[in-house]
Amino acid sequence: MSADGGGGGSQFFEEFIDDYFSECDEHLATVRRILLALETAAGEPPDATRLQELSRALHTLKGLSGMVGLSSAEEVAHAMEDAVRALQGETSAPAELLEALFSGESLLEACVTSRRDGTAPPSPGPYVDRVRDVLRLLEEESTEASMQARESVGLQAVGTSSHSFEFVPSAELAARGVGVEMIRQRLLSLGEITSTIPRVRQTGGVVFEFTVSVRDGVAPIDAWRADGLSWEPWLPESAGPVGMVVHASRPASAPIAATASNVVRVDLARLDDLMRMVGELVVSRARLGESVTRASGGMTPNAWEDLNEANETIERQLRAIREGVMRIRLVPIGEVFERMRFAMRDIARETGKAIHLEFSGQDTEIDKLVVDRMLEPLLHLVRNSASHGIESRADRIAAGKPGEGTISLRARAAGDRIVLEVEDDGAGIDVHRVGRRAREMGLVTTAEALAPDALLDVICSPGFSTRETADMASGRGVGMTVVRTTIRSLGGELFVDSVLGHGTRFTIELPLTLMITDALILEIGDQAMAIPQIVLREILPLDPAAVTRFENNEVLTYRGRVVPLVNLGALFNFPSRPGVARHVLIVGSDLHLAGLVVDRVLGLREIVVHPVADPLIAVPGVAGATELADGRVSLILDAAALVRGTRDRGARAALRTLQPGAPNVAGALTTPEHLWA
Amino acid sequence: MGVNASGAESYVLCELAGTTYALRSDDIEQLEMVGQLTPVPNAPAFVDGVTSVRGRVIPAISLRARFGFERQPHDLRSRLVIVRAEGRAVGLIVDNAREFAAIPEATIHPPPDGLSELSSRYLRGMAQLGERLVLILDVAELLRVTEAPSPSLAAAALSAEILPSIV
Amino acid sequence: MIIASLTTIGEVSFDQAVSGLEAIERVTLAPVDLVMLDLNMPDVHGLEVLRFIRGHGALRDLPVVVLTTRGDDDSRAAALREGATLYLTKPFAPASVVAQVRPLLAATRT
Repeated sequence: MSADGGGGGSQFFEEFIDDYFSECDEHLATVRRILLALETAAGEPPDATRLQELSRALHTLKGLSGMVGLSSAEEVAHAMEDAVRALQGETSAPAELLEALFSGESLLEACVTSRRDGTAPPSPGPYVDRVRDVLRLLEEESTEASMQARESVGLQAVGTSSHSFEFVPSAELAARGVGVEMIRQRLLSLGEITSTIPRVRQTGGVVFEFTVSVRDGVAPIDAWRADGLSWEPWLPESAGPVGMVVHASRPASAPIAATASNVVRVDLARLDDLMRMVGELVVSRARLGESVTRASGGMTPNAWEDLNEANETIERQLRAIREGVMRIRLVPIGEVFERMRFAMRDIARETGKAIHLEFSGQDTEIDKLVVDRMLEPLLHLVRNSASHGIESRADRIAAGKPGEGTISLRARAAGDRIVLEVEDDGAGIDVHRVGRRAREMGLVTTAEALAPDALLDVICSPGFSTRETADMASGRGVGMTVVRTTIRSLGGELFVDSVLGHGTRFTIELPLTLMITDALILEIGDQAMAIPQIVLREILPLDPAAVTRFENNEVLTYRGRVVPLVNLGALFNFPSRPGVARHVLIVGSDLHLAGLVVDRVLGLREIVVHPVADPLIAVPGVAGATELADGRVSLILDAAALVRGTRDRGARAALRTLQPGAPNVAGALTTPEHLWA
Repeated sequence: MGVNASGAESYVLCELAGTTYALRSDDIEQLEMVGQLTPVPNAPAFVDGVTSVRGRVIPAISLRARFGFERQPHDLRSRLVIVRAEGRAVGLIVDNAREFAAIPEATIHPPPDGLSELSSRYLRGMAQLGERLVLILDVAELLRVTEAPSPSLAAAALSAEILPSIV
Repeated sequence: MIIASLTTIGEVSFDQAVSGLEAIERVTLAPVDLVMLDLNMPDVHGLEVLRFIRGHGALRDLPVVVLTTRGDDDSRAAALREGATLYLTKPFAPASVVAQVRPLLAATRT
């Protein structure tokens, strides 16, 4: 147990743990997909390509788990690999073997989850024994077939494998005639050079990074190392670092589209970084735009036209970049749907119902964050449909329906929204029964039948359930309350249609893309407001002694500079509570700083930005709105506009007034143009 | 969709300070209880704030303030009528909205000439519905951003009430 | 060969790279006053070389004259966008190259 806790030896890998989780998710998804495909085609000889893909995924999981010191997952994956090997060459997939693989997948997930949660992982022992027993039985049944299999399957690099080389040129090497061209020729003797990237070293020199698709059986010569060339230790069996192995010669007939080879895995945090940088660029562009406008007087009209046109072109291109970055975040919803299929196996077993799962629109793309957050709600809706919606086979046949129930999962894009549907052909919601229960619980007071909207309100109420005991399938995890809250927090909405006797349809509408940002939540008077974290330079407690007041303005001395203060309570007419120790948020660029005075700082949140595009509410100082966890809308401050406001509003006059009695800002005052221009 | 065979369009009737107004059903997206509103500083005076409806943040207008009546606290009967015009969605806060009515196009009269041009702008017309005089609102005009509410419309509404002879 | 014909100019010494990679290697190994860059090279595209030079702190201001046979606006705009100092379309007379490059060299030396 303690060996799995990530003790001394594996501490080094702690920083890779996030990568580990995301890679595990991906490979586990592959395992699930293939197992389901194998089960569907259980009567036929298992497809060799699938088995190979499955082995590869398990092998990778094993390797990764070993790297993070999660030995339980390592052992389970290893046992599963054995099981997969035994499948090779069989004329049909033995049920007990498939079952063992399904259990193994669940166990692997549990191991990874335990690592994520910091709890003790499940013991792999019983599972390993079970696989061994199953394999021994099968072997006794047909010794020869499985023996053959063991030899022919395995993780063999086919054809080529990808390797990285680095060459650092130097004057000494150049004097000996060793240069990058010569190195390139050497590498070409190993195989194909797939990429060459020159990078600046900290010393100012250059390092050339080559990626070479090296033919099997060829290796670099050690003597090359003396010529400034370096490479990772040579492992010809391509058991090198995971992810470095490229299987270039896959069968020509195999479909390429959905395989991992043309997919780049990107850490979501890096995309957020990129988005943030684009955001900064947008701000810089706006500043440029202002300068261009101001410059109109001092230039010839033609020259100014050119400048202005360039500025507008940059604005257009920036918008295209923003959209491009947003699109990178989009992933197909199909992956989530596939997980439902997996969950359905368990539900079908627990409930004893025959349920057919139907998909459409799996290719519909949606923001990655939305996909991740929608997994649990969708799972809950599907479980609900399976356990409450779909009737028992006998009831269905008695009602003249097919014995097998159907749950349909659909996705489609509708303008800038995504529509997801979970529909079953089950019994439908008994509005009267729900109404009765709601009255018992005091949720509604009228005796009238519930309108569709009210029905949804009732079934999404905390604690509402028409069953006296929560059952296995639908009662655990999140409730309908959480389903609706999650959808709403993503800027979406949930709807329900139900026809008694014919089925229920839950419809989820979600925005296609989300602007997500980290923001500080503030309180001004009794209003919560948000400010994007990226515009914040510093948060200071407001020290009344550091504030100088003149006329209607207040300025603060901050790091030897004079910073105008914006009292947001006064500006927005949200009266401050008396006796609150206020704070100053320093915002703006190096040239133009401003201090925003707020009452309280409530904390940092990830918020979803909604535009406030309507002209009725598009007011200066407000950049958008967001919905906080309590369902209230909060406005997002437009720091750039507020800083602009201080500059336009008699800032020069402020300085002049200050000059005589403020020696501590004299340095800044000698160059007022620099400060305020 | 809102027009039946006899050429009568479907309307939602709202009450506001004792006067009945009609909004075309086709302009209405949904009716909601008035929930939490977040005030928007420096927005026009008749904007009560923003609220989240179906994941969108939309402005909520006090029709009372828009027409120059006194605001009154929201109660259980108050409704947020979400209307859509020119791609915008805006909530209108009314005292209540309980009835639907079909109003034949032929019975709709233009606003009387006596109203100032400013007030008649918000009205598409008037119609007699049984005993009641109903003022039919022009949604697009209501949502137009103007500097100040127009008190004269309130006066017009009131005078229309005591002037049934005009229809 | 144009480069070769330029070697006859008195006070300037020339060095020649046969490929983009080699060009990158040269400019990082020894100080260079000016680069004349052909966009069409066997390995790395000339624009890549230019991008590398402009991304390198110490070489950011190195004058780069781009030479190419293509006179179309796209490649011209691309080269200028990547930071080319000057853009010359082949064919051209050595004398005109010298005339255009000399002020750049003079600027570097001061």
